[in-house]
Amino acid sequence: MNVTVNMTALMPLIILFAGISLTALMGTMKDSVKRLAGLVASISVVFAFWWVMERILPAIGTAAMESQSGMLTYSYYSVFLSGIVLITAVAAFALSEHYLLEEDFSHPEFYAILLASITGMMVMLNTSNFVNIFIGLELLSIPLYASVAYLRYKPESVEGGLKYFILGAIASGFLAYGIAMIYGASGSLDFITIVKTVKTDSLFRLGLLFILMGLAFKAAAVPFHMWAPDAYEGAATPVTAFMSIAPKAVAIGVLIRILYSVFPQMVDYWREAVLVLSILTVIVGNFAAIVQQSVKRMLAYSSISHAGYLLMGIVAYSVEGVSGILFYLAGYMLINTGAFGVLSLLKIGDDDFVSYDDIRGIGYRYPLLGIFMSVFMFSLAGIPATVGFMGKFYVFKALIHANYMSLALVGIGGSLVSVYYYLRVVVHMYMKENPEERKFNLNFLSMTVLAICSVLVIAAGLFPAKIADIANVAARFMN
Amino acid sequence: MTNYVWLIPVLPLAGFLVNGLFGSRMSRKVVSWIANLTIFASFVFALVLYIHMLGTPALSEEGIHNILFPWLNVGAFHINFAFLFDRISGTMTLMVAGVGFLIHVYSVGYMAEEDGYFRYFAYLNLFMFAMLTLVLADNLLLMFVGWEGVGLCSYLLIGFYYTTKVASDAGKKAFLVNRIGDFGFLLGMFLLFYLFGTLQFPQMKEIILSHHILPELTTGLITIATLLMFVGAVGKSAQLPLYVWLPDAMAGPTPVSALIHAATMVTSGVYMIVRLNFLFQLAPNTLLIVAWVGGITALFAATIGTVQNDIKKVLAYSTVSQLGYMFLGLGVGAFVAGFFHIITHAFFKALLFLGSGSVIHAMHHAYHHAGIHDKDPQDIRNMGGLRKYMPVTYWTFLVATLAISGFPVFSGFFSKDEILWKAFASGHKTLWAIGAFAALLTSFYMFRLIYVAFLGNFRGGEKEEEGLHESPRSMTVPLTILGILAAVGGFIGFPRIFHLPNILEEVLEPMIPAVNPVHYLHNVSTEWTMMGISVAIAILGWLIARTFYAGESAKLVEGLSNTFSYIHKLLLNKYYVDEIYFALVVHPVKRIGEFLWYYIDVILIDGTVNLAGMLATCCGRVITLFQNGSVKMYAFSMLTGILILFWIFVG
Amino acid sequence: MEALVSFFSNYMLYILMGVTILTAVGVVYSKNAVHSVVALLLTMILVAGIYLMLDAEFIAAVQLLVYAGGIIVLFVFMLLLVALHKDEALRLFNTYTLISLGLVAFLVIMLAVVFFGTPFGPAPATVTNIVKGGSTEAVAGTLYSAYILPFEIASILLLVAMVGAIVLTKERGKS
Repeated sequence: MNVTVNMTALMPLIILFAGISLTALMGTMKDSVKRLAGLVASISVVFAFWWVMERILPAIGTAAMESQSGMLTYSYYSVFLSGIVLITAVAAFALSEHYLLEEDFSHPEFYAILLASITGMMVMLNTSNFVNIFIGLELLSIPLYASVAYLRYKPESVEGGLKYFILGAIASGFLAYGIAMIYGASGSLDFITIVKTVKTDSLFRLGLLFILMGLAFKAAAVPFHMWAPDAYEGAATPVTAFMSIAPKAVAIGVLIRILYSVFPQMVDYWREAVLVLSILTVIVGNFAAIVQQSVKRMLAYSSISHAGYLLMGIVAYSVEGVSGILFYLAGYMLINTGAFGVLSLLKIGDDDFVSYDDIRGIGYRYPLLGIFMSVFMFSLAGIPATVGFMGKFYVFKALIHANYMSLALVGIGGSLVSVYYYLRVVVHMYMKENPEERKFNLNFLSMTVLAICSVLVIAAGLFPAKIADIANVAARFMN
Repeated sequence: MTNYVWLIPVLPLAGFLVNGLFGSRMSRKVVSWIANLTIFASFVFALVLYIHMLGTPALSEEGIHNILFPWLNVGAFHINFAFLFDRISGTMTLMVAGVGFLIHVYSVGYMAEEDGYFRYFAYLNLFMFAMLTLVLADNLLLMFVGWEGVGLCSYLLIGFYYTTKVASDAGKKAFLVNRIGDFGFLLGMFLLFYLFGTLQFPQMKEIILSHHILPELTTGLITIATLLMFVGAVGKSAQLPLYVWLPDAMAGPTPVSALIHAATMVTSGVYMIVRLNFLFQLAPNTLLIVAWVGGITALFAATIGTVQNDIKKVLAYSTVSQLGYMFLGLGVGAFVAGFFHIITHAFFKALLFLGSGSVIHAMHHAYHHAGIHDKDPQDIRNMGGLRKYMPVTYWTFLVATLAISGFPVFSGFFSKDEILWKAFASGHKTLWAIGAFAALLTSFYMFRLIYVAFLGNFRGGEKEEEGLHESPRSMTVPLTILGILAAVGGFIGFPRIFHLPNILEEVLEPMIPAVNPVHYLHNVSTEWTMMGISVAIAILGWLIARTFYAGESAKLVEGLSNTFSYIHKLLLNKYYVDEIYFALVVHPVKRIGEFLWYYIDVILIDGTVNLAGMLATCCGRVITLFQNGSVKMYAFSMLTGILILFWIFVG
Repeated sequence: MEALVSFFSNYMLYILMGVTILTAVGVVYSKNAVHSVVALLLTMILVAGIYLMLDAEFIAAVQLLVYAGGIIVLFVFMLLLVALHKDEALRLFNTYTLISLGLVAFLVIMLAVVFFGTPFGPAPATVTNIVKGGSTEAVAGTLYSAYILPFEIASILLLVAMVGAIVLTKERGKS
């Protein structure tokens, strides 16, 4: 049997794999080489990004992109999400340079496993076959479990990683079960073939149910979210930053793809399910965040609630909704990188000073840091003139156009509640006194990343048209 | 060139920005040059435009319409940021910019020793910007922007010496009372938009002239709309009952009083009605009310002015009274006459204020020289015989007094007489009588000022007398120029019976369509008779003042004031109007505010918000109860999730 | 005897499945850790048997090799290293477990209802797409042509799993 090997399509994966191998190898060399591991990892990600944008993007839809009989398919939609993942990766690498040096636990293998996770994400996004979805998910998750548990001398890190692992294994199991049922019901694993055979009988419904559960776990939707607070809090902060954006984006993106393109006939069922999940997620995420004492854990719950808003966008079932979700994700990437980035700088040696009590007075001692954090908090809360507001606006607009007024109201209500705990951070930074005087080392690279993020947050908030248009195009061409 | 009408208001704005932002670092000379130059440039440009406009047949009808950009586009509501330089607005601009320039120059000398020099000139330029916007706006909304702007600048400038309670209170009072009027203006504007669908002057005129107003929109609604607009004018132009801020506004620097409370801002109410003459002509009832309010105010204020001892207060009440005259003129349909009086009043009242400023300046110096700190330099009872020491000031003051009293040849005579004649000729004989009596009082109290302050002997000590001297040239030159204008300014509006051209009427007449023409008596001999009566009244007022105050007649005055002590006290205390307002309005509003604050804000609203917060926190605690760290619990919740999904998908 | 043999041959699959469930339950509910591991081993072997009954010889062989061979050995190593057999047994029947048991039972019943209600059509006597070389050749043919990409990705996954495991053994400070 002949196999068509399309090198252009495969290149990003190959580049990333080269990065993995290189950084893993660097772990065996001397120290001066080891220090370059982050740089090598970033270069490979940037190179992959360039390849996707320069070689693959123009060729989408043409015969040149036929590959692996449907295993690897690029569309504007998947390229958009791949872009988000890759950019998040570079930002996370930049932030972890300083963090790991401060922890005195910097190993090149760290970058290797993160690169592997990214490879898994690329596989999972750019495919039309359930096998790749599953394999991609595994490749995404397993290195991620390891990175969460990376700081193995800290009990909370190992605990987070282990809980993530155990529950993730259950979810993967359910996902595989669901895929198997779909295969049994339709006789194929390929999206295009499955769509033709989908009927609304119970086997399909069950399969979809389990697939939904597996992906909802990854996106940290309630009630599959319980792993998230512990994992987010225990992991190294740059890893948390990465974890809160990329896997979530991938999970939601793939979920949308599967629901809209493969199971459009079952819309009545999954729409209701996603609606229930989204309402639960928004409520639990927002209310639980109110009572947190640690900013990092609060941000974990906030991530859960943002997954809720994204799920609401799925209910809208329109191009407008998907466009809104994509825009939201792009903005969310900037904001979360920034927020966790600020937290990653609040570190002396082993200790992270990320509770509300610890950040008192930071606004005056480190004015730049205060400004950055305020920008990100305002954006998370959805205050106008920030990209967070625009994202929520687009998503809720799509919902209202789809006649889901009450759902939009729930979302807006959740946003309202969230203003409290986001602005609490700002209040503590500027209006409380801190008896301890701590000296933080504000690394130049990290500060640059934060600066870029905050500028973009405001710029995209005031002039969202550019990104919104790209998101729109991406949303329209999902296949 | 016609596309640059906007330069006229914007140049002073630029002056404001430069002086405001950088003035603290610049020398006084630079600051004053910048401020004066911008106004002068505006004036010159306005003059050039005016001549060009009148010379070009195409433009002289409709004026120069300079649309800058669309400002608001909401549904059916379209407003442009646009200026309309036509005969009415052009003439007003010339007056505002011209007199404004003279006052700017005067201020250089007057404020030379004061603190906050650059702040003063910055505010003054800002005021000019707002006033010119008001004058040149082509629609009511933009005019309102200028309207509010001059109110703001008035507040800023009245309260210029903000460290003193008197000044800051006066500024607040001015702003608040103005606000009441502005409320009327806004409501009127809304109603007018409802009626016409547009707020632009040319469009509104067009609609009225072509009788496109639907019959359902009865004159009743138009009367209400115009009445509301008039309320705005009452506030801004200090008529009864919203005049109370003007006398208090004298706490500001004297050039401010001259500019804002004599020549420009207070006349904006009158100007607005002239601009909207086609509208007001549709509501004869409103015009009647306008005339009566104007007439009564004129008399009322004149009575108070007769007994005031502060030179600026006399002039303030005089301003209120003269504004009343203008409204009287408008109310009887004599729009051109009212406008004429705006111009002549600007000349002589600005001159009077600047002259009084010159006097106060000199008195200050005198007291400083003698080391006296507790005497009021503005009290005329401390003055006397200043003619000897300040000849220019005296002569120009005299010219202005003759003008305001209505002595022939001088400017005030022509404008005041025209108003009174038109009032009589349109059948409002009672109004004419009120106006005539007020004219008598005007002549009386102005000459009282002359006799008490300038003639006779100085009532202060010798040391003080040594310190008296004429003001510097920067102050006397504007005085002289204004004196000339006050003298000959009336020549632009000769009455028909003189058989001399009435330039002003010819210029403005095309802008005042005969929507609802008033029937005037056209009896030449009656007109000459009335004119004679006006002159006689002026002379009579002078004579009465001479009897009381010339020479050593102090005892006579004292005797009179003792006999009529009750009336004297009433007038001196301005009929206790401020006290009445406080008891009727201010005090109850404060009490209501306190009540609402305590019961509704503190108890109800704060309570509800706190309750909501508590509920949210409780919910949060409940939710985090489940997050107990046990993996079994986590898996259990996943199981629950599966079951929920099951229920939705299969159940 | 004949009857017994025919009974078994007809219902072997279901018997295997039933016993598998029992051993799986035994993994969870054994008091002794070693018993759990042994039960797990048995479950793996029985699952291999199920695969055999479904004519998937290749998968059955791989199951035995990987799971019964590799993974169970790993478990036993873990037991020894952590001395788990010395721990006391935990309380196995508390509120959680009982409720979960109930819910799982409910889930199973619902699944059963769904499966039995699905119109699958008659079960084929033999799987029809068997190639001459048995399921191994079929798997190989598909795996190395159409599904080569997931195959390679899986190999990356194995590599990364190793790297990850190594990462988790690193020391602090200069390594």
